Amino acid sequence: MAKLYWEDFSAGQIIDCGRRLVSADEIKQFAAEFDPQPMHLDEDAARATPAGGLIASGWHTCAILMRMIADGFLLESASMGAPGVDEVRWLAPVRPGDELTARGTVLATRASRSRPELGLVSMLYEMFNQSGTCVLTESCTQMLERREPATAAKAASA
Amino acid sequence: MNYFEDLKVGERVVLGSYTFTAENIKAFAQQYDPQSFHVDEEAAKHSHFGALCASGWHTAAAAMRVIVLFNQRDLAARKERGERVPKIGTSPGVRDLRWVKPVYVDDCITYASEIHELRAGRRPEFGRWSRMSPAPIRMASSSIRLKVLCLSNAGHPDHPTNRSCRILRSGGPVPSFRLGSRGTPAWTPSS
Repeated sequence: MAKLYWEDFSAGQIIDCGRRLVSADEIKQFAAEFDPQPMHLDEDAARATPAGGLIASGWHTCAILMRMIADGFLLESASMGAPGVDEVRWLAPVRPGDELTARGTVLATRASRSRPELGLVSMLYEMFNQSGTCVLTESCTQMLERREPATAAKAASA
Repeated sequence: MNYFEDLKVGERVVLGSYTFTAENIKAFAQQYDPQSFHVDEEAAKHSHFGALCASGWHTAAAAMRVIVLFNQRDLAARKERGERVPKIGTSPGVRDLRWVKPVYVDDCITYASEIHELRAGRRPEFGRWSRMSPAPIRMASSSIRLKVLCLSNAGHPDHPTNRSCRILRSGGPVPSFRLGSRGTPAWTPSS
């Protein structure tokens, strides 16, 4: 049962998205399927690259963040997906054994102009490693169902 | 992939295709995006998507797969011809990723890339260029677009890369807030 609706989000809220340990196996498994470059696939080959050792694909880091967001609050919310992501920045490498934490900050919320049943929430996510280094930032918009669909009168006054 | 000086804005390449199956959609989603419309056919039918659809991150990861495989084929061909092979740097990020429409079971997505802009990098041996990847699928409609900032190295160390490059076409609006702890936007507005 969905607990969180669009109305439950407001600018300034900070959402803790928990922590997650990244393993070498997981890094290599993702890379073999989606980003088969030496620095993501094999410890020895990775040492010879500028990365200096095995690092996670940036897309893997994005996927891990997605999972942390899902477990953090999205699976308990009336999510209707996302139209996209404004920006992702891979700021520092993610390595095997890293313990990642993530938080989401609600930047703004607005009702959909065209769809009375949904609202939009702009988020900034930041992911950190165990040393407190920010490894990734992501700004995106999420679509959430409204608890109370906008009526014509409400929509007009909004 | 060419040396930075050889790249031209507007240059378009068809990179390759990826087929989304119920198995790979669910496998990805169970690990990384277990929202019901990505993992459960029955629940997906009752969602606003109407059927099982791929996680947007799965469609983005698949784009990376076709990019990497394309580059590997391209670099191998260059070596075969005895050409010098440019180094490719790691990407600092992505901008304007748009999931234009849902990707459903058995959709085969063809990814293409287009050089969107070119500018000299901070390190003299690298230039920055961003690839925009519209993805024509069935009926040539697109389902994902993104700009990946890539680094390709300059061919000749003494080439006046920094002076010769200019941005020929700028991207969309830059987000008005600053991201991350470093305080410097990855993409600065061009003038």
